[in-house]
Amino acid sequence: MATSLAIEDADLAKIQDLLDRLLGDAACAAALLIARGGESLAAAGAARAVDMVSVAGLAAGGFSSTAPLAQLLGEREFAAVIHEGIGQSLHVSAVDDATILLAVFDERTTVGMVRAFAREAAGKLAAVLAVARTRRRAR
Amino acid sequence: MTPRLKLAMEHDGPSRGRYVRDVVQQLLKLRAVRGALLVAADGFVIVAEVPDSIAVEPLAAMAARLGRELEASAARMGHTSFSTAMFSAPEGPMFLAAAPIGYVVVLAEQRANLEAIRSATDEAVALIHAALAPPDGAAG
Repeated sequence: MATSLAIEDADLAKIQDLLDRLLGDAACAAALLIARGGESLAAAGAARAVDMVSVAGLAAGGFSSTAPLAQLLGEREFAAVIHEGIGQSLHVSAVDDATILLAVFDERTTVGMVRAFAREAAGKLAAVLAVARTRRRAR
Repeated sequence: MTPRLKLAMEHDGPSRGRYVRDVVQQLLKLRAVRGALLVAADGFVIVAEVPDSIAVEPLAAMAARLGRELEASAARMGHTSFSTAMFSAPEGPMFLAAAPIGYVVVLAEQRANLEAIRSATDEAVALIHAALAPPDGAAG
C-alpha cells in the first residue's frame, strides 16, 4: 500500500469530529477509523473505555477477507460488511484504499441508521485523508 | 459463558438520527395512524414505529421495492420522481413518500383523514431533507 497513514494533529481533530458526529447521529456505541492493517487511528465513544485493539485488528482482517468473495461477484471489494449479533453488532465500511470505518452499535439504533450515517462519514473521512496526503506530497 | 457486553452511549450532543426518529414519531400523533417508518432505498429499516403485530422487515422491503418501482416508472414516463403514493388495503391505506435517504411509510386506519396524513407525510419528508442536508459552508 503506497499510502502513508501519518496523520497530523489538525487532521486528527477533523477526523475525531467526524467520528463524534457519527456517534451522535447514528447512536452508535463506538466508532473507529482503522488502518487496513488493523491499527486503530482514531476512536470515539465506548472505544475509549473498552480495549478495541483486538476488535480493530479482527474487523480489519475480516473486512479484507471478504474481498476475494466480492471479486468472485465482479466487485473490487464490498463497500460495507455488517456483523449482526444478538446484542452488539458491527458495521465495517471502506473509507479509502488505506483505511476502514468501524461502527459498534446495539439495539438502541438500527442497521439502516448506522449505514446511512456511516456512508456519509466515510465520504468525509476520505476527503480529509486525501487532503492530508496531498499536503504531505507537496512538501 | 461470556457476559453480554453492554456499551455505554457517550454522546449527549445534537443527533440528526434522533431528530429523524422524532420526525417519524410525530406522524404517530395523527389521528388513525397505526405506524410509521423510514426505510432506506434498499429496504434497510432506519426508523420503525409500528405495533408489534406488524412485521417490520417485510414491510420495509416491500415499501422500498414499491418506491424504487415508482421512481423507475416515473423516469420511464419522463417525470423526475414521485412525491407521495397511496396504496389501499383492507387494514387501511399505506402512504409512501420519497425521502432523501429512502422512503417514509405511514400506515393508517380506514377512517383516517387521507389529506391530513398526506400533508403531514410531505412535511416529514421536508424536515428529514432539512436535517440531512449539509450545512452551508460545511467542510469535510
